[in-house]
Amino acid sequence: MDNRNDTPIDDFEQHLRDQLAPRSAPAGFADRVMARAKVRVAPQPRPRPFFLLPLWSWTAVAALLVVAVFGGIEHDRRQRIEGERARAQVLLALRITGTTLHDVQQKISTEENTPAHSESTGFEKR
Amino acid sequence: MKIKPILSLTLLFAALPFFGARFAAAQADQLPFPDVLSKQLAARASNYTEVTLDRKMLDFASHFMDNENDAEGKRIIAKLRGIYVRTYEFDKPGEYTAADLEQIRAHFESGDWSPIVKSRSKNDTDDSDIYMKTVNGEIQGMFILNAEPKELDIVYIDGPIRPEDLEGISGNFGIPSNLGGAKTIAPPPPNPMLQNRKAGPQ
Repeated sequence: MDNRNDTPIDDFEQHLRDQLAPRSAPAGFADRVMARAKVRVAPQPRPRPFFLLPLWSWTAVAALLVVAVFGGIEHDRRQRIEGERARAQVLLALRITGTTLHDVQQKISTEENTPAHSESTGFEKR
Repeated sequence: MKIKPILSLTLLFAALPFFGARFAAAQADQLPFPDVLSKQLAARASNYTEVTLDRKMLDFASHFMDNENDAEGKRIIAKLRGIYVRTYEFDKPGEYTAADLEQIRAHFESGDWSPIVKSRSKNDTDDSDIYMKTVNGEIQGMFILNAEPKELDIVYIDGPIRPEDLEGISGNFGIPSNLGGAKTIAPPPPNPMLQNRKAGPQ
C-alpha cells in the first residue's frame, strides 16, 4: 500500500482511535475499588444505651445528685436562719420606735399637765 | 491613626458605671447622723442597741414575716427605705452632753425637715424631739430623739411613715397598746414659700 498520500490529520486521527479504544480493566481492579468503598462508608458504631454506661459514670452522677440535694437543703436552712434573724431585727426596730414614741408622748403629756419649758409644734391633745 | 485616645475614652466610659455604683453604694451606706458619734456613745454606754435596716434588708425580712401577727409590721416596712435605731443606756448621768444632742439635731434643722415636737428640760438631760421630712406635701421620713439622764434613744425612719401607722402595731411587738396619742401628731404646716412659688409670678 502506498502511504505517500497519508496526511498528518489521518495519523492524528488514528492515534486517537488507538488511545480511545475500549480496553478491559486490569485484573483485580473491581475488587480493589469495592474494598476502598467499603472502608469509606463503613458504618459508625452505634452509641451505647445510657443504662449500659460504666459503673463509675453512675457513681459520679449519684454523687453529684447527693451533693446538689444536700447543698440545696443546707442553703435553704441558712436562708431561713438569716431571714428569721432579719425579721427579728425588724420587729426589734419597730418595738423600739413604738416605745420611744410612747415615751415622748408621755413626757409631753406630763409637761402639759404641769408648768414646763416645753415647746411643741402641731401636737394636739386627744 | 489615633488609637490611644479612643482606647482611653472607651476605658473611661466602661469604668464609669463601676465607680457610679460604688459612689451610690457609699451614699446609701451613709447614716443621717455622724457615725463617729454613734461609736463615741456606744463606747460610753453600759448597754447599747444598734439596728440598721436598709431597703434590701427590709425586703429580705418581709419574706419571712408570714406570721399573722406580722401583717401590720410587714405593711409598714413595705413602703420604707430604711430604719435606723440607736439606743444607749448609761451607768450614770452625764455620759452625753448637750453638744452631742445638738450635733445630732443639726442634721434635721434644714431642708425638708420640720420639728414637730421639741421638749427641753432645764439641764438638757430630759429632752425630746420629733422631726418629720415632708416632700411635695407627703411625709417621707421621721426622726425621734428621746434623751433621759441615763438613756438616749434615736430613731430615724426613711420613707413614707405616719404616726398613725405606728398606732396600728401598738399592742404588738412589745409596744404599749396606748399609743393612740400618735394620731394627734399633726404633719407640719405647708411651707408658704413653696406655695408662693407654685402660684407663679403675678
